[in-house]
Amino acid sequence: MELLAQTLITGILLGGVYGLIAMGLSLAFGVMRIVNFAHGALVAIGMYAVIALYRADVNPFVSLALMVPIGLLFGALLQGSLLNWVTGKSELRQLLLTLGFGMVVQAVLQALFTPGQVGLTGFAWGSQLVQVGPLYLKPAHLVGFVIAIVIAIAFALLLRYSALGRQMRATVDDAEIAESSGVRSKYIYILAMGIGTAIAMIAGGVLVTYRPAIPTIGNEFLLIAFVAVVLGGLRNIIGAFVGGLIAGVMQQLTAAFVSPALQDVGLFALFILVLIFKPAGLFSRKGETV
Amino acid sequence: MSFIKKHSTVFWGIVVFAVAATLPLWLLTGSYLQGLGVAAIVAASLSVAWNLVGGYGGRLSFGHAAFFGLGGYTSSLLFVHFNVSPWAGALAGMLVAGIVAIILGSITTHLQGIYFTLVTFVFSLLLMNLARYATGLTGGDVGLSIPLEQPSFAIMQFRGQTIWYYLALAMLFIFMVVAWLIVRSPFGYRLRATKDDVDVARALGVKAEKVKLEVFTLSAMMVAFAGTFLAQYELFIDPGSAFGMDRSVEMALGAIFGGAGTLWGPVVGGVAIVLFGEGARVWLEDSFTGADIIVYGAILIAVALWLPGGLASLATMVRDAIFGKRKRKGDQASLSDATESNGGAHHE
Repeated sequence: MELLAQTLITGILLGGVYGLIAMGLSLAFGVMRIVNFAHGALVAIGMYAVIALYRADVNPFVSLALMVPIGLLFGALLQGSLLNWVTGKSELRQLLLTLGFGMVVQAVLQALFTPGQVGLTGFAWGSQLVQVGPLYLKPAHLVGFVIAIVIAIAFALLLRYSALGRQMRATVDDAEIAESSGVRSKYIYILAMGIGTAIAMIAGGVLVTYRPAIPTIGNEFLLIAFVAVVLGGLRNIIGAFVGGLIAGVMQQLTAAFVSPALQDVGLFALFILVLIFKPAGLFSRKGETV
Repeated sequence: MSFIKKHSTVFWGIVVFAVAATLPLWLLTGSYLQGLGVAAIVAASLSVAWNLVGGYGGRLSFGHAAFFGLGGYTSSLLFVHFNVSPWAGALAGMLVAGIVAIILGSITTHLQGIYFTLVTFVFSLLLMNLARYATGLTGGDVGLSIPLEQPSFAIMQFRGQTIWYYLALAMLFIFMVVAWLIVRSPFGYRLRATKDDVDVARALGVKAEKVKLEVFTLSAMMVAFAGTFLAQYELFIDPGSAFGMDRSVEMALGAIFGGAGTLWGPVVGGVAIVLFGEGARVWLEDSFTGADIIVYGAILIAVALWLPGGLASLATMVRDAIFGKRKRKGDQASLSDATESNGGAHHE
């Protein structure tokens, strides 16, 4: 029983960050209809950016705040320079472009840093287990989760109540009608990609406070984000966050009760089952089809 | 002359394979170059097999490494543990891959576009994790070494690169013949009809689900054989190289770069990406590792931006520029333009 509670709490804490990553991916898919295979690479960039700043004596938590403007700018540039060429074009071209960009990022990270693991050497804050009642927590996990929740809520509020959010939701629901009602889609694309990138890079910054990075780490988060987004429904941005929580819990449950080496197998099996039997996601709106 | 015109595919096929067969005599001298030739031909063979599903079938599988790995692991495990000849192992591997493809294929026939891509993508990685986990059977991440014995045809082990080169060429030849026969057959017409418009195909009486499943299974079995081939060639197999994402992407990239849905595109593309990758690796070896990854990434981006029809469309573009645009039946370029303009979201 205690093991179960421990597993669930760890899964939820880790799942919060997964949810954050998934929200960014879902935003890009919802607004631009792009399945961004480079999304994991954006998370990796966030991790390495915080490492680079830490080497220049910037506190990682200060770096997290810096990820907002850096991510917005980087995402906007990415959309403006590359992704706009394939937005609204065939899936094949989107896939090739984002996959290729992800590979280039991976190779550049490998050249700038080493192909091996890099972490925040000497920054051990929050990595000791703290006992809370019968359970053990890592403060770093808890802080990461709180940051994830705060950003997710802020983003949900932005989507719900701001004019920009309304325009984004309109584009998600029906790009053509939104356009004909005066939404400047090109401008929305650039903003959405900027926001999605900033969120992914913040998630990377949170992750690097409790685990080291390797250049290929983006693939791992890309997959988790796919799983989370599919669980939540590809165009359901809040659903993606919940999907991330489920993914985190699923991973920890498999690790605790089956085998840590199989933690992703459980996740992938769930993913395939959901895609096959309920492709519009677990929380799909009624009548929505693929 | 009229024979050449009428049977141009056969004619050029014979020419290309005849020239390729002489390459070890004058161009690919030495084991390094012949090894490169083997790698290029294997990549081309994989792309030809992938092209059946991804090109002619129009369904982007990003998980064909699953079948490649199943083929390689089946024959290797049978050889290592039971001393079964890799030739029999290759057949067993094709059988295993075929069965898995039927199961995976039949539960995914209703998935369109990106959903199919994601399922295949994740499925191959699921198998990779299982292969890593089953250390007792597969050696896990360390990989499985196939014991070197007295080289003989019976156990698919050869001394020197030359025999491997010709064996690879024979594999590519058979794959090409299979692809060519399919394209010409009524099945090929049904396949393309399903790709172009599944509803129209159904209205014409094509059993779209059956066509999708059959081509997926056939392609999987071909890829599985290549898996056995490469495992025997390298006398080594590990989860990452067998089931990894890079393997799936390589197959798709070769076909798309050359021209998906064309007969010769995947051959040209498969050979080209191996040569580009190796060239970049050798050229930039001293400055940094991972140069070949950058080249792959750059090719992907370039194709996405400027050449979605692959090198094959380049040939058409050049021809149009020289001889003026003619109306051709089944014009690839206008077809893809039409699909794109239906894309939905607007973009200036």
